[in-house]
Amino acid sequence: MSQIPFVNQLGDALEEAFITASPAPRRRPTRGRRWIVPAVVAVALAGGAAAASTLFNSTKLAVDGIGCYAGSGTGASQTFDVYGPSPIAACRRVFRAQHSPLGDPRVKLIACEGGPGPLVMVFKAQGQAQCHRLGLSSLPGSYAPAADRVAALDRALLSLVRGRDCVAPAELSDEVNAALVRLGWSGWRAKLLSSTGQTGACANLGFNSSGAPDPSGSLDATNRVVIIFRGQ
Amino acid sequence: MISDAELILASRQDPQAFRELYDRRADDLLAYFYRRVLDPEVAADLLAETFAVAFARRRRFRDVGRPGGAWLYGIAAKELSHFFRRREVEKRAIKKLGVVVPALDRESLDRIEALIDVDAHRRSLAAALQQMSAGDRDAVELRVVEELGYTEIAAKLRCTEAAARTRVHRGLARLSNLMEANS
Repeated sequence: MSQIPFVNQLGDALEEAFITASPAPRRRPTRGRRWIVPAVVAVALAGGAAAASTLFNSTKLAVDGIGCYAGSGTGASQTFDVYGPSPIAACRRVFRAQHSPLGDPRVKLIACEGGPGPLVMVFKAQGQAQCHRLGLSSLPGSYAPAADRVAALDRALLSLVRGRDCVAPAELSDEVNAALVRLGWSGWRAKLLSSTGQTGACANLGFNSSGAPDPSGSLDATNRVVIIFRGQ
Repeated sequence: MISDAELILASRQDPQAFRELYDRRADDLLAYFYRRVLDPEVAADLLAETFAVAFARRRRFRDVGRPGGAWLYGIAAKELSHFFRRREVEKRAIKKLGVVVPALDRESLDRIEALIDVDAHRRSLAAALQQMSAGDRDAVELRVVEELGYTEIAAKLRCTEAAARTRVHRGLARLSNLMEANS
């Protein structure tokens, strides 16, 4: 509790809005995410630390998602939590849904890498060397195969919870670990987030803003874990 | 104790975890804003918008070992930067979230104003005060330097208490502009 009455009142107003804005997780998901890309796993993984590092960085980029900027610089309004092997196509769909002029395929877009994270960022294209001018880098060629690989994992994780009323945390954890091994995600593991005081009998992966299962929100590339949440 | 980072991660499934983060950080963030804008109402709006933006972006937060508070202050700095560029608080996130920011009551105003550490800002304050009109400077000095209540300020300025409050807030807003321009 704050000594400032306003702070407590604002906290109450925000908490109510947070709860209203967060749909309750569905036990029987009716729809999942649709990916158009085939489940191609793995770039021709050349051995060596440099290749492994490049793969890790690209995987992290793919896991962390894309920022779609409705302008030619980082000051433009943004939409995050967008995923896909082609950032420009993914943002084009977002812009179209937002009725933005950038949804028009005649308007050129450009994808860069950088910023905090770093992150894949898509802007309205404006001349040569735009990424460099913005202090960013060009998108690495290894991004698309890494995004395909993340999409395959995403689908595998989604299949673990689809149509199941309740999965015990330990059971889901084992299944996630098995999926990681099967798909070649070496060094990754399931992590049950148990520090939030929730002790529910059912476990969940992430959910998107529509309440549909969305494993992307469970992937943590920095710590190489798939986070499993306990229900209330 | 659960870390800020864990609270942010947990809030993806449990929005009340974000309230806990708010309760931990709101006072400090409000002070952070108020020391920079010197206007309690603007600071209050910046606080609300910062938490609304942070909530909307919580799924993008990754635990990379840095304190979760640093992530929050990053968002706060961006909101502040927008305010100084446009001279208005971006309220898009609070509108999208449907939050009605409560009005500041008198006790809250007094407590927020008490957050100013005059000593730490004395030099830049002195320079900015010299650039202000006599009317604005009198109102601000009576409130911030002499720490008078609004009843006493009203008596000294020969105006109503409500007018005194308005003059102080307007003066503080102008002082904030000058300090920002001088820095």
